[in-house]
Amino acid sequence: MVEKGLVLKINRDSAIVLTRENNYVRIVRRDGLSVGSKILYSDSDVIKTISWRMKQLKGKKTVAAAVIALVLVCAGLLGANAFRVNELPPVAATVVTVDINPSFKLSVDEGDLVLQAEALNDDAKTITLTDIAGMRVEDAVELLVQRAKEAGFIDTEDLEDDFVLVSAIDMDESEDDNDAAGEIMDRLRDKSEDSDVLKEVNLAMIEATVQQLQEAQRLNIPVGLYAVNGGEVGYTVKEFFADNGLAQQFMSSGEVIENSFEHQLSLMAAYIDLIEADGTTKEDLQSAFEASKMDFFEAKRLFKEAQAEYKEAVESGDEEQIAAAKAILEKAEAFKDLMEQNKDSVEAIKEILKGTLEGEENPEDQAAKEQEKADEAQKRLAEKAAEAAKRAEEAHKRLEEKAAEAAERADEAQKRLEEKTAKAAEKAAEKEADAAKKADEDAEPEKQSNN
Amino acid sequence: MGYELDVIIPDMRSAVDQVNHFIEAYRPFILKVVTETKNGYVDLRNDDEFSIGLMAFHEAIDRYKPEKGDFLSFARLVIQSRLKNHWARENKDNMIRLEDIRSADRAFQEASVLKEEIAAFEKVLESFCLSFEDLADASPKHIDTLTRAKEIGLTAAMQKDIVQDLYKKKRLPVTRVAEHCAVSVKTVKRSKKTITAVIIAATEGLDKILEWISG
Repeated sequence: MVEKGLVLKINRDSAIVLTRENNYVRIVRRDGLSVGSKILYSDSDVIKTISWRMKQLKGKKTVAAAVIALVLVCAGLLGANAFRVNELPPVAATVVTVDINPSFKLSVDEGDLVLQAEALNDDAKTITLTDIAGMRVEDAVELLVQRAKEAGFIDTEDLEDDFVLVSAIDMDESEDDNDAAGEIMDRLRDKSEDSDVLKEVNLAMIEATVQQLQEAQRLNIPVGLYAVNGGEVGYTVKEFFADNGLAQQFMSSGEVIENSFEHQLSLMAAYIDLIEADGTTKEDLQSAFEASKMDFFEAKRLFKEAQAEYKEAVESGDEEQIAAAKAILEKAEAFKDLMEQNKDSVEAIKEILKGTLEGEENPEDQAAKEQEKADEAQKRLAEKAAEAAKRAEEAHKRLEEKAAEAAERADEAQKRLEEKTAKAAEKAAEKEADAAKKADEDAEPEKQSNN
Repeated sequence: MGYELDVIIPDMRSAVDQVNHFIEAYRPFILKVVTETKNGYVDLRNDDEFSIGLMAFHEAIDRYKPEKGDFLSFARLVIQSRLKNHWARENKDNMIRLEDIRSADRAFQEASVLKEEIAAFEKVLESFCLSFEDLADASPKHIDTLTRAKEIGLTAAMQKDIVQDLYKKKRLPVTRVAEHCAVSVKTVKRSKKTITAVIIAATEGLDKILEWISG
């Protein structure tokens, strides 16, 4: 066949061309090639790589014959029953392990559907797994978390953070063109935004290799933890993440999606009511809490609004609209910053609450300490609110300045336009006058001659 | 093979359709001879040489006699001889024609634009951890898969949120692409890199490259 190729790259012995069918092909390098030129080449110019040859072999009769012979020999050795193909499990493209406290292993196919779910420890054996095959992997994870919660392995109502560790392993290592693990993590990430069940826990995700899976199974520890640091044996998932150092290490190669802020806030609302602490402390905490709650929702709402409007503006192409939408978006960002800081404050408040509840046994001893902590938290909150308010003001001012500048420039442009028009008018008038003068002059000699 | 040809050729001469069919089937052979004789690839914009090769091959069909040996070797000789004549004539002709300058200039401009687009393409692909070599290794060999991948890429490139997602995560949002283009996740996964490259070309406005593959 004769093919047309666009030269993309020239290497020492070869070149890469792009055909009109969007095929990228390696061809032999010859004189006179330059990037960007379009050439004609034929099949004999194509460099066949080893994998290409393998793919060619796949169809060959000789290979088929060899395989059949091998199968027959094995059937003879193992007995015909060994080849009941229908019962053989289909090959998993990816293995996903879910470690909460119960540990599960999901075999997932190329289309991200679960082929099989297995229990890896005794706790897991108490969970129903028979209906999970056929589900999408992200739905399966959600269901497992739900069931663990129902069985009491996770308590999302206490103040302790719950972690669900999901590890994804690409089983098909021959094809580097595979990032099945990464894609499954994407799915989980998307799912966690819509799932109430997943929002209540911290979702820790990490990719691992087949070797790591085998080693971890041998040592009997969750593969996700093994993948981080070779596995300090003996840590449960909860203990692991409670250790800041280890948690940080995890986050350098994996990813943690924290439980939703809203969930934390709803917990706090419940607990604030329970505090039998000194009235003042309770009120301080409550008002700080209310403030942060309001800001959080405000920020979320504004940001969503701003994004939608900006999108519309860009689509409309109207410059004014785009500028206005951008202004709102900036304001929304400022608020979002506020929300971020509030999250830290909420964490601080949570610690206080925890301490308060634990200290219920010795209220007198704890009360003073708690009062101090609460005051500090309150102060920090106030400072942060002030800072954010200042920044919002500054942003507002800058926006006003920009608007003023734009107005000025528009005025100047207008002025210049007027000047130009005036000048043009002048010139036109001049020309007319000249023309009139000339006409008169022409007329003069006639007059004279008439005399 | 050679023996069969030697027999067929003399009989073929009278049937114009058969002759054309035959030449058509041997186009790759003719190109190979031209490429090897020239020691360089035939450039599309300057494909005189290929035309001469085709004509020479036709001439070989007309002149061939079994005494001359095996047909393909004979054809090769004729092609080489005609090419050499052509090059000799070109060298003798010292007149530089305005038309030639103009077309050479046009060709140069076009190649420059393409060169820039290709350089830009390579750079963006790099940020996605893709190289032309990767694309060559991953390129589907089956024409149907290729065409499908191209179509998926072009369709997906028009969907703003898919493109945004792709650029943000530096990875193709396989499920979304599959849904949007009404194909299976498996299909998209198989041609992931190719599809990604098409979307990048479309998004970066590499029009000449797009034109080349859309044709």
